[in-house]
Amino acid sequence: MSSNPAYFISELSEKKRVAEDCYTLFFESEIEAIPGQFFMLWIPGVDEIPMSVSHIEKKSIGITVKIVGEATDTLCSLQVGNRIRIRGAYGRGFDLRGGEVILVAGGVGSAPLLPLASSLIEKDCRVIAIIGAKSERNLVHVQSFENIGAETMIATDDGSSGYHGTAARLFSDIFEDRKFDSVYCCGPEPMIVSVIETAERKKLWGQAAIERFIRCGIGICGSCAIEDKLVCRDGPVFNFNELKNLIGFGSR
Amino acid sequence: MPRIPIENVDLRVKIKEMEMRNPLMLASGILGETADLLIAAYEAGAGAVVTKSIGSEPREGHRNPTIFQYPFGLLNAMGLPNPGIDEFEKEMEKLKRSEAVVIGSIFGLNSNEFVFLARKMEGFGAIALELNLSCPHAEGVGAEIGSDPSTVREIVSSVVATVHIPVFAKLTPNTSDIVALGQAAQEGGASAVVAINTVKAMAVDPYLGKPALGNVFGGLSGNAIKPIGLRCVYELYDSLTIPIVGVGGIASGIDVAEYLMAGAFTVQIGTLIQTKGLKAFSELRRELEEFMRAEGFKNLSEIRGAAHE
Repeated sequence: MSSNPAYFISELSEKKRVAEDCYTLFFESEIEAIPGQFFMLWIPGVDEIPMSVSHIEKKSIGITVKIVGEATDTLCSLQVGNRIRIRGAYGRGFDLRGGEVILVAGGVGSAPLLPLASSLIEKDCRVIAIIGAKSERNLVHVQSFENIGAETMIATDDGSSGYHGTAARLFSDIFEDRKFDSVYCCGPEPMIVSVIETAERKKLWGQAAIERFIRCGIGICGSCAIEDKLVCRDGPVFNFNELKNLIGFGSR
Repeated sequence: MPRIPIENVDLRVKIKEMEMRNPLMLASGILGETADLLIAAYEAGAGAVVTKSIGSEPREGHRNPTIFQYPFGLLNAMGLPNPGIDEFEKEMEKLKRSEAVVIGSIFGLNSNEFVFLARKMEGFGAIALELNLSCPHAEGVGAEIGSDPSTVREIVSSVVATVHIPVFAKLTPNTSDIVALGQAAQEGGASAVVAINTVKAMAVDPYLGKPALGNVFGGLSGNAIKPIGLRCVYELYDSLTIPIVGVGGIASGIDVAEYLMAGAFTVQIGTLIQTKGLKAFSELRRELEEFMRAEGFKNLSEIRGAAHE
């Protein structure tokens, strides 16, 4: 429902708490997306923010939102039946490579990797997902990764669940006795930087989905620029070899 | 007409000491906050690039939504986000080391602030200045001061008295008399006027019952405003002697030709970058060259103002 082809007016059809201060919201919508892409969501009277797609279904899409400020707080307070305006999907999604694939997620960074895992498994890839968080209560989508058939490993900074340490560290350790064809990652920038270093040492191809303040979402305002790359248009998914050459990346 | 097709066309153009390899400039506000993107636009084929409008202090701009997409154009209320003139120096340093022809855009509350910014921009190596006297969605600056001819004259003449590089005045179409603004800029000593900035407009979302932009009002650009831009350029050409830089809804080389025929000396490209990306520059150039060859125009001075004859 919309008077304008660029926009989808969508109703919240389901809301699930998935971790501390973190919810998955489903919207009934015909909007199409591929894993790694993002939407611009207008929360009327508050803000318009970018959110990556975490669930892609025939008649609905899902996003996973961590409450970090007024806009995400208002978004997570929406009730089933409330309307919102969505535009997108925008940006470059993940490229699917076959074989044995490892995913490395930090915090709510597991959200864009979940539909990627589904797509990879549909392509008969073997998927191992390292899901990291500060603590057990911050782990996002562990059960969902298991449900779709990914082998799941947990890492927590405080050791409250699984491996005691960061997801990036576990990723580096795991090479002791395993080999992979590709790696995909999403999470805090220092984690991505560390995963890129390990992957480079192991000569492993990889991609990461990154985050920046996005205003227009359509490649004209330049707010999300890192050097000559626009995160909204050239990303948010980048190859590791692109990221390691971007001087402005890894500083936050 | 009919005309005799020719082989070679010359797209070079010069305003005062500013030489351009073609008349296609990147408009202010589009990708202009970082040196890397401005250089990329130049390398993609722009004849010159205009920076985002820079003020004295860092400024976040309006809250999102800052854009609304119509099928026929783009509405924006960015609210002049910029890092502030001091922070922008390092981008200008990088630009200075490149080949790019860079026009520094500035905005201020009054002539003192414009003079302060103009000095800095000139010092940073800008080849010309564009004074933003026309942003339709920021309080106390832009069109709010640029709609009054005497203010335009005062600001332009203060800046012209201060710097040695060409000064362009970017005019607002949100006035009953753009010619009066153009004349004021010319009297103030401007080397050129730039017409037009966006047309003040808004959008309402009928399903959510609210204005669709965070700032309620914004500026419309793109296809929808091409006829307005053409009209303004045509009117200005009839009464000014200084060059006019035509802007508004250019989406093809034919559109460029139309602006030139209306009297534009050069043109600027903005919203088209959304759909085409930076390859817009090479496409427009090729289309303009094809049109000029087929119609027998050897250079820009032959085509310029043709619609007035």
